This record gives sequence, structure tokens and C-alpha cells, in this order.
Amino acid sequence: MSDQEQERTEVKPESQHIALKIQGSGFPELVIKVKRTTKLSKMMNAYCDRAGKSLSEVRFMFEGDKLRPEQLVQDLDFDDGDFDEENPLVIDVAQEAVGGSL
Amino acid sequence: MPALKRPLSAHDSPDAHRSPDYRADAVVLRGASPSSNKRVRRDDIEQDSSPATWVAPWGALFTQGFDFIKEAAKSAYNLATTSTSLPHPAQQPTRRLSAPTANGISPLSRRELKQLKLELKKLKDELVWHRMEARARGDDMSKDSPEVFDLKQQMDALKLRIEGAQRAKHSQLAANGGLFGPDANSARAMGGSNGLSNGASGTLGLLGGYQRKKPMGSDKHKADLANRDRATVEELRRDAQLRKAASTNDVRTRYRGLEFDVDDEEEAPEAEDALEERVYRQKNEQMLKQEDAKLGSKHIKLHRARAGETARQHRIPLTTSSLVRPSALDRSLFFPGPSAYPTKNGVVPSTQLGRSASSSRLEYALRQAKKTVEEPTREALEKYEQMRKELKELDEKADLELEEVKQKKRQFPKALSAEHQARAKAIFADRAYDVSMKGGSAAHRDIIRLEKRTWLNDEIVNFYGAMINARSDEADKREAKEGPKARGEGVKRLRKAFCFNTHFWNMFGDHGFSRVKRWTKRFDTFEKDIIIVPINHNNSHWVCAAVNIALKRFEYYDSLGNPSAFVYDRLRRWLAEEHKSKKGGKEIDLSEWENFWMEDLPLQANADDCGVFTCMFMESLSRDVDGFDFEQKNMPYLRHRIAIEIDQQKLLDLEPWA
Repeated sequence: MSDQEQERTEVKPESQHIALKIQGSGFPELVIKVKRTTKLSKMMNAYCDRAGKSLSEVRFMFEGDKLRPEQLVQDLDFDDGDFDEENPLVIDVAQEAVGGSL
Repeated sequence: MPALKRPLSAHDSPDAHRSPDYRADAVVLRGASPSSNKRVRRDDIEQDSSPATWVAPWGALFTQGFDFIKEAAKSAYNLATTSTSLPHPAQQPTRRLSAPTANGISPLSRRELKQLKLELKKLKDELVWHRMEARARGDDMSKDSPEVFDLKQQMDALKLRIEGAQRAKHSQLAANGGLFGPDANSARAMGGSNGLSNGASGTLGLLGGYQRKKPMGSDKHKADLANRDRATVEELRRDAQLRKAASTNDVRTRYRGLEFDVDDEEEAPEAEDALEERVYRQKNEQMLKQEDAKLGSKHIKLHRARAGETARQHRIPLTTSSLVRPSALDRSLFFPGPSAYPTKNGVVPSTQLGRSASSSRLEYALRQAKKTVEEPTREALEKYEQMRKELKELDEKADLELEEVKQKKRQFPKALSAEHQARAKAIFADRAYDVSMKGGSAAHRDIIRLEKRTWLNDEIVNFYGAMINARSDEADKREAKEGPKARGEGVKRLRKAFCFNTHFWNMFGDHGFSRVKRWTKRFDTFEKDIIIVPINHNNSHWVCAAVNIALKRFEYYDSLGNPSAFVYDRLRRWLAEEHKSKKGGKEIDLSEWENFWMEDLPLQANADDCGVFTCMFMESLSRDVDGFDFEQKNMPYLRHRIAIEIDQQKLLDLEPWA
């Protein structure tokens, strides 16, 4: 939580900040602003804290690609034209899935 | 009641022939019963006081039971027919719960009944004892000894007595207003006769006024149970019949349980045929009429004259063979429209109608065609034959080669090489294990699922998909540099494949196309050969679906062997949306796209391996395969192989091909 609050207080409408909207079925929706150089693990941990989930059972995806904690925000495959203040980048979040047989 | 009134001797007693011990027992037993005196009528007791005769009334009843019952029944009959009032007061029972029982048999209390039953049991025991003795002596068992015969008779009489007492109780209850509803009145009216018919009704039901009564008390409960059981059995039988009928589609079986006339049902299919035949004939006639109208009546008249009969009669020759339903080929040849096969005189000759029409039309067309061809010379013919032979050989060769390439299969060994085995062991043992590549990552908790028979999770399947995508991208690059041969040959040829993330399926299903629209932004979906879609059903089953763009079909591979219509529908919906989004709102025509299901799919034989099967389906689909080369027995090997591949972040080609 503290990470996130920190992010919020730091936020200034600068181009180096990116708004991320995290959403998924069964998960709370959350919009956070992060620096381009932030590690994704920071965002992931903050979100998991809030959602009350363990990081190992939650999957973050950006446009169909699974995100890894060690990636930086700027590693995400997006163009600057893809988002703005109104339309943040959407990070999909999903629960771990298992299967063996029906 | 002369039988009862007669002074009874000791000889009459059923105990007379028994051992003294037994008789003494019996006396004690009866004497001990507080209500035993109730069973013996006062006048009888007054007549006899010796122990042997003290029990005599029942002995008399046993030995002379039938006479006695006959008498009782007779008097009951008289009572019932003459409607006289209550019987002689001397025979009025002194019981509390007294009902008019003219025959003297009063309903017994439960305790008395119990005692009678106890006696019956004793007799039975004795009978068994006698029999065993006889057997031990080696007597002829087919014939009853005199003792056994006696015992049997006594038992019969006692049974009769018990039955009678029970019936008497019922009728008494009925007479006391135990019955309600419409039966109550009749039961009350019959009270006397019902009551006195007890005992007799069992054997001499003709004489007694006994009527079947509504079951009461515990009998009612039993009857209810029996009815319920019967209904259940009936229902089950009906159910089974219907199910069988549904499975066999047999009309007879289906209607056996129901009240249908089976014969009527049997005729139905024939009637259907007749209808079809009629429609067929009508169509024929219509077509011929049109033809006639076109060609004018002149030809028809000529033709009729030639045939010597009316054309109408000829058109549909009603022989038995014409009643046979025409084949699809016949029909297609028969209804091509009048212009498709011009006839000699512009008329359809009667011989060409009906079933023979197709063949004669073909023959005619062949004759016409032959006329247009010049007579071939011998050299030309020889040359032609030669060419045909060569072409055939070439075709066969090409087919063989293709077969060889298509049929190439991996030969899966039982275990990995020693080196890989050691590595796999190390991977599974490392609790801090973590590996990642673009689009996938796996930690110890994920990869450990590959060690033994455990369900796989999305990380493993996604990692495998990521490796497939990486291999396909690499092949694309190679192809751009070196040409199409770089993709490999035969089953090893890498398709232009894209494998979705496992969450694509539910994301699209739950939230619609907008949420997955950008998932394909880096490539043109319709340039790909195949889009592979791993699916997780209900967080419990992994399956693989695919949109085969090159072959225009939607494919579904479920290692449990269940084709699922909704999967095809959702794939279809996605592709339609995808086309609209990628091609500027243009609709795609999916009418020719087929839903593909493979019949000889390798199936899992347990409840854990579907994730491995799904990974292998995905990998195979990214190549140019026609079928799959793995099966259940390869699964333990393949699990460890996948672990090694994930560890190296690259799909490996470890097995020999044959």
C-alpha cells in the first residue's frame, strides 16, 4: 500500500509517468501511475496486497503477453499514442488455472 | 356345535401321543398364560378337569378342525342368507372386545395370538427333530412317518386357527367402526357374517361370506409398502424400456409398454416411402409437362403413336423395381432440367424414364461425344497409352513420397538420456528454481507439476506456447532470408503459427472481443497458417483448439474425446470479429469453414495428463502434421521432456524420426 501511496504523491503530469489500469474478472479494478523505469514487480506486489492474493497465483498480462516481475514498465510493447490520461494502458489480471481432467 | 359339546377323551387330545414331558410342558405353558382361561369356554372346562382334557378344546379344534370349520362356515352361510340376528347366547364370547361371532371363534388378544404362534413354533421344532431323527436312522425321507404326519396336521390346524383369529379381529374392527368411507357401511352390515366366516374363508371361502377388506393397521402399512414397491418396479421397467427404445430406435420396443397397436406403428415407414414415391412421381410429371409444353404437342403425338400406348402410362412404369427409392445419383441425373440432356427427337423417350433414365442418358451423351472425335490411328493410340502409363507411375511415386513424409513419426523412448535425466532431477529438486522468457515464466511450484502425475497449471502451458511462438517467429525470419525451404519439410515443416495465452479463451468468452482485440496487434492473423488456442475448462481440464486459416477449419482436440459445439461457436465468433477489426469492418464468409474433429485422437487414460496432451497438441499443430504421434504411454517421458525444454527455453528435437 505504501508503494502505491508513494506513487500517488509523486505523480505529476509528466510524460515519463504512465497510467496503468489493472482489471480482470473476479479482481478489483485499480488505476495506478508508474514511472517508465519502474520494475513491474512493484506494481504487481502493490496490486496483490490490495487484492489480498499471493503473487504466485496471479497472472498479469499486457495484450496477451504474460508479464514478468523483472520487466520494466517501458519494456511493455506499447506506443506513446496508445494511451493518454483518459485511456490508461490496460493490464489484464487473471487467476492461476490448473487442469487434469473434467 | 356338536364337535365341541362332545365330551373329549384323552385320546382326542393332540398331546395324547406325545411324550409325557411335552404334555406337561404344554400344560404349564397354558396354565401360565393369564388369559388362557378365556380361550377355553366355560362349558368345556366344566365338562373336563383332567390336565389332558383341560387343553382338549384346542386339541379337538386341531384334530377335528376341518369339521368344525365346515360347521362354522355353514352356520355363517345360514346367517348371511337368512339374515337372522345374533347367534346362540351360549356361544357369545365373554371377551371385552366382543363382536358377534356366531361360530364361536373370538378374536384373540395379541398375547394369545403370540402364544399360539409360539406353539406353532414348538410343533415346527418337533417336526424338524423328527425328521432329523428319521434321517439319522436312514429312513425313507420321501414318505412322512406317522408322527410327522400327525404333527403336520396339527400345525395346519394351528395355522388355520391363527389366521382365523386374525381375520376375526379385522372384521371386529370393521364392525366397531374401524372402517370409514363407503366401505364402512358394508363392513358394518356384514359385521356378523364377516366375523363368523373367519377361519373358514381361508380354505372354504365359497361358503363363507368373507369379503376382501381394506387392509388396516400394520397390514395396511405392509400393503402400502408393497404397492409402492410394485409401482417403483413398474416405473423402472418402463424407464428401462423407453431408454432401450431410444437407444435402438426400435418402434416396437418403444411402444411395448404403452397401449399402442404395434401393427399400426409398423406400417409407418412404408407409408413414408409411399409418400416419397408420390412426391417423386409428381415431380416427374411436372417436369415432363413442362418439357411437353416447350416442345409442342406434335412430337408427343408422334411418340405416342410409335409407342402404341399413352405416354402417361409409360412415364412411370409401376413395377416393383420402380417402387424402390431412387438413389441420389438417379435423382441428380433425372432432374438436371430439360436442356441438360437433349434427346434425339426432342422428346424424352419412355424407355429413358424411371430408373433406367440415367444410364441411357449417359450412353446417349457418350455416343454423341464419340461422334465428334475422329477415329484415332494406331500410333496415336499407342503414344497415348504410353503417356498415360508414365503419368500414372509419376503420380504413384509422388503419392508414395508424400505418404512417407506425412507418416513420419517420432519414436519416443522410455526415458530421457542420462544427461537430461540428471538435469531434470536437478530442476525438480531446486526449490528456488525460476526460469523465464518472453511470454512465459516458471518457478519451482510450476515446474514441479511435471515431475509426476500432477495437474499442470497455466504457467507451464503458457511457457510451452511462448516457445512455440518463438520457434515460429524464428522460422519466419529464416524463411525471409533463405526462402520457403527454411521452414523444413514434411511433418517437420513449421507452420506460420501463433499460440494464444491460456487466458485468451476466458477473456474473450467473459468480456467479449474488445478485451482481446489488441492481442494480435503485432501480426496479421490472416497471414498465419494456424492460430492455436489453449483452453482451460472450468479450472479443471486442458484442451487445445485451433483456427486453421490455411485449411479453413476450426479444430478442437480434447484428450478426453468430447467434441464440444460451443468451442467451435466461440472460435467462429472470434474469427468473425477479428476479420472485422483487421480488415476495416469487412465481414468474413465462414460458410465454407468446417468444424474439424479428429476421430483417432490420442486419448488420456487417467485424470491428470490432459495438460501434457494439450502441450503436445499445440506443438504438433505448429508443424505440418496430419495426425499425432504420441499417446498415453509416452506421457511420463514427455512430462520430463517438457521440463527440459522449459529449462532450455527452446523446443527440442530429441527423438529419432521414422
